[in-house]
Amino acid sequence: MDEIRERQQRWVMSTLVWKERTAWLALLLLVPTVAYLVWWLFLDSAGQEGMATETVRRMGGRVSVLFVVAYLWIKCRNKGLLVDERDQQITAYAVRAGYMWLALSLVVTASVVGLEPWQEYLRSRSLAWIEAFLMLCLLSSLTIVSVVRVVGYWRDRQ
Amino acid sequence: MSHYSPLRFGAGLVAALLGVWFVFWPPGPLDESPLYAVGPLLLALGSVVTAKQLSLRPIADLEQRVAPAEVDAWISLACIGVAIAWVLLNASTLMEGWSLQAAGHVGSRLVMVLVFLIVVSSVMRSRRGNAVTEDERDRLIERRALEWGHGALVAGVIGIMVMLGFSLEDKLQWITPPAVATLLAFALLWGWLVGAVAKVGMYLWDRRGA
Repeated sequence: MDEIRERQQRWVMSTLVWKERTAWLALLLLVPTVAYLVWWLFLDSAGQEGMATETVRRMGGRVSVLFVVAYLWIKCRNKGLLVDERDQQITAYAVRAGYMWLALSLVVTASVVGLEPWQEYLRSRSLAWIEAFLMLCLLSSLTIVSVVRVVGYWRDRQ
Repeated sequence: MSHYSPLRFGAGLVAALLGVWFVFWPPGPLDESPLYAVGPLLLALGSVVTAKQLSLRPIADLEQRVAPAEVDAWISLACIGVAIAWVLLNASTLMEGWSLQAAGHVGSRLVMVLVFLIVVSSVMRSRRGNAVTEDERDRLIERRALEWGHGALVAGVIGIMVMLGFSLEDKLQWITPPAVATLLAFALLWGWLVGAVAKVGMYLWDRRGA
């Protein structure tokens, strides 16, 4: 009986570690993607001219679809019995931080874009640029979620 | 002023509403009158008297049964409903362009709604005295509602991206900078609305199950 309990405990522990690993994995995937998007949107000459290459558009679409599917898959897997109070609290903090970041970025973007002095800037950009910028907002929000989760688990372990 | 008086409550409310009108709405016939300058004073005095009287009002049976967080949820839902109705009614104007003056106009109204939300929520909570105003159930509902709101906002942004990415170029002639700004603002309000509806729904569901 003790052996079964011990095995269960070990399984629980390994699953919790796996959850933390998924947070790290998401972070490692998201940070380069966000960095690439920032570079393409604001530093790359093609992006600055408001042009989007077909590769970027195609890749962007595929990556976002893949990411959403993977995110939902991870979320569904986390709904099992092995989600304890600590996981729920860390997730709640993370979701709150991500939500606030996304809301803030959209408020700032909408205010800047809506005002007349900045409209010329957006008019010089293509629809693909706007699409990529929205993806940047979305992915940066998910990066914040991952960062808070990783920090939450790390602090908890400390 | 130590007990509730409907007359004082009504007078305070009227004074506060007059103050709001003087402060936030464009100057009307009282533009040149010194009465217009009294607006902020009326707003402050009226709000204090109304809040004080509201806090002294005896607690009704229904109010006793409803959790403070649920009252907050209903107030939030009403405020977001008003904001969405305002955006929808002014959608054509917003799509044409946002001037600095119009942005200030919108900002002042949003601040007004926010202040109203905070004041009413604080007063309703202060009526409970030292009683517990939040428990495990409230926190759980808050958490789930937040997830719903975040999910709805993410879905809204993805929806805009999909529309931009998959629509034909000539079908998107209406996508001007103000239109993008309005779409983003609407996605934000949509997220808040879904969160508020989820919260109210969960409270109702929970009370029905209890």
